[in-house]
Amino acid sequence: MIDCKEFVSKEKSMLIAPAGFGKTYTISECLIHLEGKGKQLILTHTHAGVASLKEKFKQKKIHSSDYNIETITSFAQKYVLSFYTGIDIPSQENSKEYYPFIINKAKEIFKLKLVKNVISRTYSGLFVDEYQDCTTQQHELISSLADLFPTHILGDYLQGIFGFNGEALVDMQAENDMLEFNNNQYSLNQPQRWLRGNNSNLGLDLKKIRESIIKQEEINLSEFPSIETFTFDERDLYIPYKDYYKEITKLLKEENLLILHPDSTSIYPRLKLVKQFNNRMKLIESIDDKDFYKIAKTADEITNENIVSKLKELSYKLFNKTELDKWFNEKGFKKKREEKDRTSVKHLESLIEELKNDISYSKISYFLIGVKELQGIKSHRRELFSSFLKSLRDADENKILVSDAMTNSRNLIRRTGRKVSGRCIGTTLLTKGLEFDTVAIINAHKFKCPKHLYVALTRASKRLLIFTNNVVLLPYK
Amino acid sequence: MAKIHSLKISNYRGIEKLEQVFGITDFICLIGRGDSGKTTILDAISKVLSPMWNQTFHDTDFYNGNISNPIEIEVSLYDLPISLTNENKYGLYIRGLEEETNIIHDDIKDDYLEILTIKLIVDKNLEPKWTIVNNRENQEEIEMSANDRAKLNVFLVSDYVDKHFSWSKGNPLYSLLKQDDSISEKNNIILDAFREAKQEIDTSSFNHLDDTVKKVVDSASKLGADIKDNTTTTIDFKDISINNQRISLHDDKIPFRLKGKGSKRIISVAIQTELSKLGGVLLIDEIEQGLEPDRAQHLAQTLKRENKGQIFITTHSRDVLVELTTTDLFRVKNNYSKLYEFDSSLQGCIRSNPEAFFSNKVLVCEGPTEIGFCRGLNNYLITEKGINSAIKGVRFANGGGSTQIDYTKAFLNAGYKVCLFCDSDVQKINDEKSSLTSLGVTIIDSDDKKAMENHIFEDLPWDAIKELIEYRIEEKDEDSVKASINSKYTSELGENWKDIDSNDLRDAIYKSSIVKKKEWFKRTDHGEVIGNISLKYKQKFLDKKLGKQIDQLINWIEND
Repeated sequence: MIDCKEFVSKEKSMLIAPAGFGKTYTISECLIHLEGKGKQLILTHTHAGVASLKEKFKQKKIHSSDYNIETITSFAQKYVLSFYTGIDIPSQENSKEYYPFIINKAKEIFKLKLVKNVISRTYSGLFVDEYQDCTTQQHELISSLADLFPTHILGDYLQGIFGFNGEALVDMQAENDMLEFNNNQYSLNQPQRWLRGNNSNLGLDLKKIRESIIKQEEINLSEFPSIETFTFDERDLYIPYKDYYKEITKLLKEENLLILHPDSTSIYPRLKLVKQFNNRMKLIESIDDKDFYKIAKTADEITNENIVSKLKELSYKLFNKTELDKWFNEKGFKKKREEKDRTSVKHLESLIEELKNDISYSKISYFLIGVKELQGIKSHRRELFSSFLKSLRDADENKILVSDAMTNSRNLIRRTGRKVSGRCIGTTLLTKGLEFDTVAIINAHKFKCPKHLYVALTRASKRLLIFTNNVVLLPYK
Repeated sequence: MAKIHSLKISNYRGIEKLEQVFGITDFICLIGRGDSGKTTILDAISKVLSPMWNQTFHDTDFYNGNISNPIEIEVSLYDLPISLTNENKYGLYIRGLEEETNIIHDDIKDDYLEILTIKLIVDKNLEPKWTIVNNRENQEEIEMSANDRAKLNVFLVSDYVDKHFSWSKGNPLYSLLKQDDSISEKNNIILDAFREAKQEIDTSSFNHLDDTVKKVVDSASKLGADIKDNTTTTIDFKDISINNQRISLHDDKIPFRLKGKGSKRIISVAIQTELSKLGGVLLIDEIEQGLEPDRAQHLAQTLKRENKGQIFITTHSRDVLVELTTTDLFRVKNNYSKLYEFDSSLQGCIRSNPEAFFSNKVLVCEGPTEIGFCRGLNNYLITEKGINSAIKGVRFANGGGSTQIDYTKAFLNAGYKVCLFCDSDVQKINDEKSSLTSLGVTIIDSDDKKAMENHIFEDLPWDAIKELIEYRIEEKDEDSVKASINSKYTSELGENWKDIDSNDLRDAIYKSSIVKKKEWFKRTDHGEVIGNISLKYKQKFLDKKLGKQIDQLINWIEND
């Protein structure tokens, strides 16, 4: 533990906090020190981060009037939407342009005297968590806020992987950029998360690995008994009688499991695994995944004329193709022999007839639910399916476009955060900041970036399994 | 806290539309004829900034009683309380004032001044709704609570000030109390005092009622209800509900609300002046009401000099007006969508002709002689025609010779109808006349190079001139008047010199009447005599210049 009182007494200070070393705890201790000294603004990057900090503050009984916690984006967005008078704000759906736009405009707005007054009247200090995830633009924005009140940044340069939109991230080790913060640098040294009765050996091993990564040394997994290492051939994962497949199947009995895939660029390898293991793991979706908006747009294009083809299009977007092919033909539904199937089809056909006369989003949602209940039909993207149904109902109730309903619902998730639990599959980008009892890193030799690997390793709080084709990892190129 | 920069009113009472920028100023005086809407403006301000959550509105509050157009009152404020301009309140709604141009921008620049715009809308459901507004498209309006409005400290002193002496919430005394931080936390001190008082009443005996009470107690016990031991008489708490409104200032035992109107208003203003030491807006309708002229003047003087907040007053009092400067004044005119402002060139005019500011039409007169002459004309109108200049909204203003052109222009710009009654013996002034005419000023002047005195002695019938001579003799004495005329006369005046009309004599009298420092008429009262005498002989010189001027003046007063 560092001396919080001293840390917050500096006008500008920085805390280097490796994953699981008690950073959240430190922030809450700082707030306790600052109690009664005015409201603190706490900024972080993800809504998951917001949620976990909030929970910690609640535990520590820190009064909610003593702080305001938001993501940097939503804080910036609040000011831009309030003060920007231009009409050229990109649509939020267009996240590649929207977020950089917001940060850029916020930078200008935060320079205005009147706006500075509003902010400094409201807050008496600033904490920025996960500083390594700041883009250079966000770093500039924080720098101008830092002129208004004491500012304390916390983070870990080894976890700086939030390459959103491929924008450059701040370099926390850069002498010039971080000058004033560097002058008051503190660091946390104990792997608290694991020492607290989880798996203290794992904690100490991760600390050693961290040191190796910083020195760019090779990592020989056989030296770390707390980590369950398996050397398998990559292809074995898809072959049910191979050990790789079997080990993963075994793992699927765990209550709280994260399977980490090294490929962040494409959703398909993960989807393939979800199918392979028969939907027994849940795909963690990106909040800004385009498919959510695309499917909503398809629904908006429905007319009385194209209803049949559009319903088919939607079905193929949501459900498994091979099974759908058994039900649909060119014109509509295939003839079924069994009585039960015939009733289901009849129900769906009557819905289509109703929809031809009267487009109703609710009825479209009933149709899709009906399709899902057909023999063999599955949705590998459960979140996409449920979000879409919800948007259809919302659009119907509130007489808005399905696209707008979808945007609202994605934004709501962005704002309020979401709880990821159970058995999931994801990537480092989607799970950074999260913590799972058991983490299995598959194809670990594929990690080409030390930071991504470090983030992957540190997601596990009790049990860490690594599947690799080589027991020595060299994630440096 | 907070001061008003600008105001917009639509469809409220007699005002269909009004938009006014007051700018950065701490003292505003609204003037205008009766029913021009001064009180409505103060009322509108007090409504939009009122700390009452339950303001009531009626169909009659809508312009022309037409409830289909909502009442909208919007004020833009500066010098805002910090507690309202943080992020959690309305900080994200602030707008920027560009001071050089007095324009409020939604696109904020660095050197702008902080502004919040509050809007009150009342639609046909008569439900008032207060919101913070701006024109930034991405932002939705946000409602403003009565509590937050209370932080603005805006109070109206009107005829109904009695409640200002009670300690209930929303009243200035209460706000004053709340400003004491040590008290605000436990603001029950009034109630506590009240409870103590109630205890006092409880312990005092109501002996003279005991016999009656005993009868009831006995009867009850016969019927089987034993209420003997604890039955006493005291006041039922329910009926004297604990209500701050009943706790008010008293002069010894007499409540302030029973004091005289003027004193009540002054005390009310005093409470609020105390409050305005931290900023705030004080609205005083007819500041002179119930006060002697000197007290009204003193009040205006003190408020203007010592106020720390912003004060709006209305007045009809010349005594109040003379304490003010032209920039304090805003003139309200019916059916005009903005208030008129006054040019600083009229500053001298406020002191010399305060009455003119309260009129609709100003007759700017060259000097005291002309003013007096017009008064004489007014006397004629009253007796002969049964009308007068006041009914017609006309006031005479002394143009003060060289300043008359500036006054004329300034009055014109302030929205008055203006007539200039002047001589034609100064070239510099003659040069300005045609441009004034083109601006809409009616000019009634002498023949070229002549002054009023020329026409008096050239145009009036001899009998009238004889009366003027007699008037002068009454002022001085016969010998000196005769000597003075004689000195200007071509030959020697004889014994009966007053009986023979001649051009030479008229010329001599004229010259004698304008001798420097010995002028016969350069005073308003003398001028009035000329007027009276001239009008008496009106029919006898209709075709002369002076006769025509009289007709023009009457015509302008009656019709224009």
